[in-house]
Amino acid sequence: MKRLEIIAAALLAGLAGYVLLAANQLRIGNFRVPQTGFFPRALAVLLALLTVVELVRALRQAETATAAARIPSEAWLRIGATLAIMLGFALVLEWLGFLLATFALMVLLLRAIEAPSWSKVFIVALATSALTYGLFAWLLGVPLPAGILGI
Amino acid sequence: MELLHNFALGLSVALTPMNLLFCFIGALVGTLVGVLPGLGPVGAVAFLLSITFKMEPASAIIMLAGIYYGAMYGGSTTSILVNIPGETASVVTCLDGYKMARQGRAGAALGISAFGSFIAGTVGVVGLMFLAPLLGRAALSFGPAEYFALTLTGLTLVAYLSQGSMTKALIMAVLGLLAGAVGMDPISGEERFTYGTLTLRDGFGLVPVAMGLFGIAEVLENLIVLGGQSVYETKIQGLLPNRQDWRDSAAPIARGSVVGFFLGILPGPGPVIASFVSYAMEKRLSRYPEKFGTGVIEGVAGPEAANNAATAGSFIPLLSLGIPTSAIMALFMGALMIHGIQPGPLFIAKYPELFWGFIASMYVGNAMLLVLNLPLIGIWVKLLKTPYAILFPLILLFCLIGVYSLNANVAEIVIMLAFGVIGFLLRRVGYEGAPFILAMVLGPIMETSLRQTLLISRGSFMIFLNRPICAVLIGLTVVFLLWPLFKGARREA
Amino acid sequence: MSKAKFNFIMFIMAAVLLCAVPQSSAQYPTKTIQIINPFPPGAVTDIVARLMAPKLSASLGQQVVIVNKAGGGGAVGIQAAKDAAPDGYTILVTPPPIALIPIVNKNSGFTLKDFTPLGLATSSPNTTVVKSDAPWKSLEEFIAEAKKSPGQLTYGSAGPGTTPHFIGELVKLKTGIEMTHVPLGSESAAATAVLGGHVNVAFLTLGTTRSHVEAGTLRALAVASNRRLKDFPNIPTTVEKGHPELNLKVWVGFFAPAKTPAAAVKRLAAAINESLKDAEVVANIEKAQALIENLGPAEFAKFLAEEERKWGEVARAAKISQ
Repeated sequence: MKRLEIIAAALLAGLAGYVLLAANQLRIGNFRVPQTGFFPRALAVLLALLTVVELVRALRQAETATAAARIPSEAWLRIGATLAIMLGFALVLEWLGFLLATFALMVLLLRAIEAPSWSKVFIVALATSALTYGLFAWLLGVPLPAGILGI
Repeated sequence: MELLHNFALGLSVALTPMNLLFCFIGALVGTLVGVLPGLGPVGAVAFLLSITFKMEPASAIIMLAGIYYGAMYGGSTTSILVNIPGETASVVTCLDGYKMARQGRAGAALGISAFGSFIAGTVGVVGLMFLAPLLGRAALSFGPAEYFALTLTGLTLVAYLSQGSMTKALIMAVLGLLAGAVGMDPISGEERFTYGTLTLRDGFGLVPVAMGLFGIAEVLENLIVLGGQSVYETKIQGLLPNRQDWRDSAAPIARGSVVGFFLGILPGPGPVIASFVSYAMEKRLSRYPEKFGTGVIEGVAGPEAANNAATAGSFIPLLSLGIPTSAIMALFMGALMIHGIQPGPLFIAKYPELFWGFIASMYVGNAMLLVLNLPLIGIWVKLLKTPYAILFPLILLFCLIGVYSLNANVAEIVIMLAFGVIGFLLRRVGYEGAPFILAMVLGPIMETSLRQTLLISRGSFMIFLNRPICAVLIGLTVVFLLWPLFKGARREA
Repeated sequence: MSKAKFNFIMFIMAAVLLCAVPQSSAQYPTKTIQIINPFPPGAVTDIVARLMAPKLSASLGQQVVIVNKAGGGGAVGIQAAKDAAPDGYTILVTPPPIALIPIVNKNSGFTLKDFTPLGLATSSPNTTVVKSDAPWKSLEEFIAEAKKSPGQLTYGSAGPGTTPHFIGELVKLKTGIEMTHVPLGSESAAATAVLGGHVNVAFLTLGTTRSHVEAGTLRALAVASNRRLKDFPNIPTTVEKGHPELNLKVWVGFFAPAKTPAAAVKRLAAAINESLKDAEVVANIEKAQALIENLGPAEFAKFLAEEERKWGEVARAAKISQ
């Protein structure tokens, strides 16, 4: 936990530094007429100060015995797969169309998270894509993308 | 007497079978979009706007308003059940509501938010009925200087939004302010941190960020322990709030109703801010503030009452002045203008049957929503028994569609996922999402109003002290900031 | 192979086969036409387009749907329309930002040249409004005051590069007065700031100010028009005040992506023209506080060239562009 807290504070301090540099590219103005970069720069300075305080605290604290539960590697795999599937959904949604993309998403997610039997996976995936389509497109009139197959 | 006469006129409009039906449809659709994460009342009203062209103006506004306040009823549902804010005004409800659900008290949390919403909705309509013109005029005295002072006061609430380290809460607040600064600078028109992308030109959307930080992060967290025991306590304790719950919630609901109503009048995300203020207030007043965030019912009752009362308040500028203060109010204005009715200072006098019919319909609609929502609680609670191998993919799917439905922009899905990962990682080292969201809501208002004020005052800061409302708010901020020091000193003495 | 899997594969194959049938080369239009509205629903573009849609549908023989793509002060939706396939199935409804955004931001990604004008539909005249208890009873009095104390008076706009901002700068340019610009985010926010006495003046469309002028909470010093308005005979026009160059209106027009086939453009322009002559559409649009213009593609293009010239000049003089 201690090590992670230090890393987090250091990363956030780095972010503060980056924002400071980026904000300097913008017009700053002055206290009477603050310009575009004024607010971000002030915030970056504030963030830098706070992260330094946090960093010092984290460095000085005793290592706590009750460290946060470590994430087992197969859990990382599951998390990574879930995120990748969702990202993939975002990327193919407008090309594949809502129905197909949703069906694929559900099949993959169901398999990635706990892998029920294939028949169950297909039934759930089919049912959810059809139901969500009915709910959003027909009932609520949300314009959903039609893909290469026109559905 | 005149009021009674007017209200009778209103009832005669609201209680026609057609309008009752439209009120019910509105309430139903509102509950639905409230429950569905992402898709909010703005989207639903926008999609249903074209249906209202063929309706009577009164029916149109009765139905559309039903969607708006109905969404506030439904919004708490997913916050409580799965930690995904159904509406941005339900972000704070996640803090204690979700914890209650995990302890098997989803029924009590859902119940109190339905009753709280009903009570607050009714209080709000009463306020709207008696105070609309008066408060509409009063709202005009809020200029940029007052907004700036108000956001300063609002930011002090950060102190009440975290359970752990204050430094970490402040860091999250500053990060939230920075996130709010992304996009086109509303004063100069220059772009900040947009990296040439069109999506970021409007800044990060509140909905994708909140759904990422809360919902996606929570699902990722739960993915760690899969295959083990259920996330939820399996023994469900009652479907409705018990006597003790009511005793604890009565005062928060009352306070939330009043605060929410007044904050709703102000432009911008009134219901969101109202819910945060109510939460902070209850924590401040509580005898056990340290328990907030672990599943106390006051933390659900107050904010849920506040966001509902705020919806009633937010109609005031539109109906009494013709000023739309938020995207949804602009939609209502459009819905009326399509029928050739222009809301403005003369609206109530020119169209009494419309105004009073609308008011009366809100009483009816709130009652309908209570009746509609109570039986649903049993269904929602049962839903939690769905095996999570199926529940999680479903939650994620609804998040994805919900965010996409906002602007038909896949980039917003990516933003949601990114904030999901950030939220997940930061939570593991003790950084919480609520201060971030509050700061992100307040930040843009704060910066813009400060710079507008300085343009108006030509760079003089005296304007903040010369204006009474402003000076009072700044005084309050100072008191809030110094209060902990004072209390600490007394304890040590 | 499980039965579900088999069914799924059959389903995919059927779907692919259905789509592989070559598109018939029947006359345009053969499918739904999308109108992109780059502003939130309920905005004037949305209202005008939605009021016209049923008539457009009838005249084109295809469904016409309005798709809202708001953001970036209109830039997101306009960009989306530019990037759409130029096949006549995606068109754009937009107010002046399509001309103003490229002037303000050289990197906006589009210019008027990326579009073929289809028709100018409606307009709303601009009004110069002050608070009802403001000391200035006329445009002359206001200008005199502004000349007496340069830079002391403030005008509110909907934001940098928006129409009320451009008009404010044009007024400064043409009358030689100095005012401080306060961007407020939207037309209604600017109206609110005038009502609350936070800024002195604003140049807003009649659609925004009408109800307040009627109620007497705002005083209109002038309206940009050739003739006095039917509903407000007491408001003097900018033309009679001797400022014909301030005769400004906020318009709503239809565009197609630049390479849209001429036949489709002709068909669409005819449909727009026809629907703007329909008595019901006209009545409804006028109820929504807009005036019918109905200029065809050629006239609209001429009008746009003039707009571009005028605002380009203002932007250079007032250094609005970046």
